[in-house]
Amino acid sequence: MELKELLDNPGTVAFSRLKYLQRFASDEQIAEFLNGLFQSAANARFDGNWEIVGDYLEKWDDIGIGLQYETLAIPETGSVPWATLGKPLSESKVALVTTGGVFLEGQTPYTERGDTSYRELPKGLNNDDIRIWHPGYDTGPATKDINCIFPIDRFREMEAEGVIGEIAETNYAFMGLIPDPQELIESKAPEVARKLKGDGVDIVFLAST
Amino acid sequence: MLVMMYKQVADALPSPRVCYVRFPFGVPLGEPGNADQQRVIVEDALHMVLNAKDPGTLQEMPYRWRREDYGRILTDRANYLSQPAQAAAGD
Repeated sequence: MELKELLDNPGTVAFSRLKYLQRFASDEQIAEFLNGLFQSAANARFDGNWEIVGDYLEKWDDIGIGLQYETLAIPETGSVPWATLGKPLSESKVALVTTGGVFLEGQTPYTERGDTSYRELPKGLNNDDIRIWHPGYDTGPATKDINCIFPIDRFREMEAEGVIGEIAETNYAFMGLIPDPQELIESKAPEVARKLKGDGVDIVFLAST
Repeated sequence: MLVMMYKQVADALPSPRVCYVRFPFGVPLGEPGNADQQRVIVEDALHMVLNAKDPGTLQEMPYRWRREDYGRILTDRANYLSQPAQAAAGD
């Protein structure tokens, strides 16, 4: 058996950070991980403190993600844009944006990795009409409750409470698995930014999956 | 305002404000059905909109997934967003 096969996993949300060890870690790193896991589990049982195992796995989450990050082609970007909110939150218009591959029943689904298209999600959408297509993460939790990635109900509550002024009439969704983001940077993202500005949006809440 | 779970990528991008959460990928706001957890993260993000002073501010949230009492957090910080909003209006 290959050492990597010992880290076989179902690709579910519980493994979402650790899965990169199987893909990118060397045999030496995997052996180190498994050896440490064995020791932390034995110590946790002896001490009656399973926090040790949680902390250990989080340390290796970071190592795996660091290995995956080295494989990414992050585009060159300019300076950080900046604007301050010039009015109270209770008078502000908030738009939601998600990269979770959300679309509505009747809209064209996303079809493949690298799809830079976006979907418009009206404020008054029926949650039952929401669909998700995204090959890069476990969509099970968000399919159960869209607020995991697109917290429309939480913002509806805050609108009703007067915490925010209002939710924008149009909100936006992308499918964020885009290995070559050039078209997104040059065309689609500025297009959505112009629409948000045209709608008088004060705050954009973007949740990445 | 960006809620992100991938710190290295967040650091590499020119995002004005990043609320970094150590949650599993695919659930940036929290678990299905856990409205309190989702509300905590939403409020944290809006709090940054009101209070972050510098472009590129990244705030690392301390939450440990299921090992927190999110209802208690909301109770303990009632009206979390009201005072900063007044401050922002006066800027």
